[in-house]
Amino acid sequence: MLAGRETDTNLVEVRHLTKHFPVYSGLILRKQVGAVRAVDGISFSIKEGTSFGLVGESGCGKTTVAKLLLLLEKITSGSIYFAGIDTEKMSSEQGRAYRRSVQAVFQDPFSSLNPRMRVGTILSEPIRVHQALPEKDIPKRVAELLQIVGLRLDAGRLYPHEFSGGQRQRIAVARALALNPRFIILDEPVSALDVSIRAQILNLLMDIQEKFGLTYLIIAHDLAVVEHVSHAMAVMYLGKIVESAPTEELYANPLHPYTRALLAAVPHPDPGAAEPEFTLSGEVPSPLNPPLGCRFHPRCWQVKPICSEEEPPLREVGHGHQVACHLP
Amino acid sequence: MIIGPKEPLLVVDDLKTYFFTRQGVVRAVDGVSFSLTEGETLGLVGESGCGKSVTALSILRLVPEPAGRIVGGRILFQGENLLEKSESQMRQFRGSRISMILQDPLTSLNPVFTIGDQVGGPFKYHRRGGETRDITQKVVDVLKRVRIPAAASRLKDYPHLFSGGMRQRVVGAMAIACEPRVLIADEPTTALDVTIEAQFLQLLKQIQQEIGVALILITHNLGIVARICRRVAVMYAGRIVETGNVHRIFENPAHPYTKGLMDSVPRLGEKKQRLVTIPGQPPDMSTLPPGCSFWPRCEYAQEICRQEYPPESRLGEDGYVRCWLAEKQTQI
Amino acid sequence: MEYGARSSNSVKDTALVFERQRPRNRVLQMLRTAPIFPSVILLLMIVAAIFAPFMSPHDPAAIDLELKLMPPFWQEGGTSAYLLGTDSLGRDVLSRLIWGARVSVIVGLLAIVFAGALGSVLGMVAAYFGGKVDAIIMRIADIQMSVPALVLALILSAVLMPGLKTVIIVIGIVYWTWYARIIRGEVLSIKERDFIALAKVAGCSRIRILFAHILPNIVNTLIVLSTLQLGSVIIYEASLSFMGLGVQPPSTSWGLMLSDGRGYMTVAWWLMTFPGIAIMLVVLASNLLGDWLRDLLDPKRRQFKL
Repeated sequence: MLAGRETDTNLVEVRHLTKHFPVYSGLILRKQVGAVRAVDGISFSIKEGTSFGLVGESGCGKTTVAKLLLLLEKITSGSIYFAGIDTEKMSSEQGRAYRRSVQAVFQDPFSSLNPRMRVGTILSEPIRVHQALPEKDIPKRVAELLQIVGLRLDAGRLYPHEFSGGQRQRIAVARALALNPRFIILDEPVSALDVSIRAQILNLLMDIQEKFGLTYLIIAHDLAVVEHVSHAMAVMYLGKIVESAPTEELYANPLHPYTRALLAAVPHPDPGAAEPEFTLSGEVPSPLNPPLGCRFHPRCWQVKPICSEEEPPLREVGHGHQVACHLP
Repeated sequence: MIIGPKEPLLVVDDLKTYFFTRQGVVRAVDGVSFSLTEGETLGLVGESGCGKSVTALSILRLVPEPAGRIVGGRILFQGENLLEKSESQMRQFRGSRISMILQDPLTSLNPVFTIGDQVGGPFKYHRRGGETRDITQKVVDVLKRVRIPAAASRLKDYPHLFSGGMRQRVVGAMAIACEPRVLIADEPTTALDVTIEAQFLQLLKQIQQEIGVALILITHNLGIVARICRRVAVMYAGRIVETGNVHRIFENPAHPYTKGLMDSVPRLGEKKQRLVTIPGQPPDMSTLPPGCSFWPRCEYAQEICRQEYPPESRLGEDGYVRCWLAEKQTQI
Repeated sequence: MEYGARSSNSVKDTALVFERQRPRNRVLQMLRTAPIFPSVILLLMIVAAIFAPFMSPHDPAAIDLELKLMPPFWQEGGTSAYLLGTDSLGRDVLSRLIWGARVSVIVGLLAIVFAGALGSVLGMVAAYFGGKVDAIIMRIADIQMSVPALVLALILSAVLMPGLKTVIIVIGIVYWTWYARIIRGEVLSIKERDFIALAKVAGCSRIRILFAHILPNIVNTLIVLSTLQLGSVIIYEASLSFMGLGVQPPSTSWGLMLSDGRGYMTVAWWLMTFPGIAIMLVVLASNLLGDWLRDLLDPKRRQFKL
């Protein structure tokens, strides 16, 4: 299921990516009084043909990472490399190629599609924008896309509101595939769908990944889903990556206290399962004023003095497993 | 209708709530029966549109009118039929003997009133307070019970100063203020982060033990059901298709829908090649197929399934399933 | 093969079983719910405007001092040749009423189109581009709105020659701000929706997003706004004409009729009453129709899409 066409090249490389949103105050002369440090120096890479999972709770910055990768927000500092090219230094030609190669599927199937456009138009729009196919070949391509995602071939005439949530998400996937992209960013692709539909969509995503050799970044809060669909993953907390590893390794051997708390918190669909060993207390602090030192230290039950003074760097502990924690 | 060993606190008997729209009649709740005993936790599981929220609203007689109407059945609470009560009589029940908390902590609290005011509301309305300072003390007590830190100093705070998880606790405080016998929680943690959700579920369990309230937990998350429910009722297209003890349901689901749900949920620590799916999608409630509403998606569907809705087949001590497959098996 | 289906059989069954009953003819169903009274009034007005030359019993500008100040036919002194009486110059009130409808319809339509187009473009641009552009456009609107509308009209009319064209321009300039504000609000919320971000991700230019994505989503609002504004615009035109800044004789307008009739209020009640009633009915009709349209096109009901 996770075969894909794995290569050893990194299709996507993110280095010290940082995004700060300035906060202003004052009515007339607006002064910057602070910044929301949504993403604060993260680095990871994704091998072509694989899926990379990004998990974390609200405020951790994972959605901002998606927006930065999609060039919907400007980078404050750091860089993104796609197929070896620095996105900040792209020519306009390369920029257009980027748009063709990098697509997205978002969480809400109800606002992802323009309610006033027919499905056929929605699917053909990217093709038209990039003039990727002559006009006469477009209907065939649309039919092809519909078939790939398992929708009726006459769906093109209909409007989004005539479809269910799961079907709309299929339309969104079809649109993402329209230009034969290499990389698709999936931001919570199934969390807004009914439970019985999620499996269908996940299977679809896995199948097309294998068929087309796609690379995925999957952002989700459902740890079971991420375990199922990703080859490697990272856990984010307040704008930083606290742990990253190949998926199997991470679930088998979670090292960072936050990762362990997350895993413990997930309710298992098994009434016989033991009660979680502990429950994390406290709330996620505001990204405006992250705690000094290790950002997790106020909630950490293993906290030591050094944790409030120094921020732990991300260090390698073997098997491609990295952790940012002062504890051995 | 199955009655448990103890005298039930709440009995819902053949409840029918329909919505009358221009496109036709939507049978949101079409003959739902279950019971709840003192202090027990019942999980009401189903996907969007199955009628679980409407069932909850029906118990409290808060179904939006004029489109929605309870057209049949009985709701017996401590022996009294709530459907025969007048509106002013129902107001005595709501918030004091039967309470409810909803999904969205953002909109559950009024942004222009302090939490002291809002949590004090149930006390004032149901005359459980006495003097004002008694009420204040009671407010602080109940806020402490839901583990709001430094409760006494936060009475004058407004909702926007609280995080989602805290707000949900405040809502919980309002719901249990008058120590109701039944608390209905409609997807209370869906909007919360997973670690906050874990805290909240733990809190629900503690409160239950402390004040002995019976809980109806409405959710689509099987993990939550497994963690805190004792009994489960699975709903599909307006009816309960299976109910029983939580262990039995998870280990041995009788209804194909339940089985499909169990199989299709990805579980931590169990990676599969390919997820098992339930084909098709949840039905459009305004045009339900004849017979069993699940048959278009059922791999075991037979001729009789398309014609008649299956009756209840008893399963074990306190459960039943509505499926022709099971019916045939019990007849053998 | 459809994803998730066991076999094509079950998919067909599913399709058959779940075929939603789509109304055969949506437009017809829609029209059936239309309120009768306002529709009839507005239809009458449009018919009168188009067929004025055929419907009007007399030439509205024909002066005949012998016939001046005749009351409506049911009063003593009235005749059935001049059903609603005549004015101080012997002109037939009914004919003037019918020709006045033409002016109101023309002014109403053109002024609304002008104000609507100007206002929505500026509103869209302000909302979509934000920042300085938004600030500038909105400040201009604010400043203009702080000047009383009639004062504005006076100033503009002093600059331009009074007449039908001027009225349309004046109304356009006065009313665009109202459209701009509301459309701006709509666009601000539309632009946050996922499909807009995804259009950017697909490579759409900003202009394309504005016209292919945002504009179709504000059309409903525009239609409702315009219908609701119709009454207001007609009153405004009447006020302008009343003050002499609008339509000039020999053309007819309801406002002009009001103005002419003012001096004869005590002796010839019919001169002001009939145009007054006409204005009132049209304004009422447009408000009622606007309310109906707004409820109909409310996205939350999601039944009908124009």
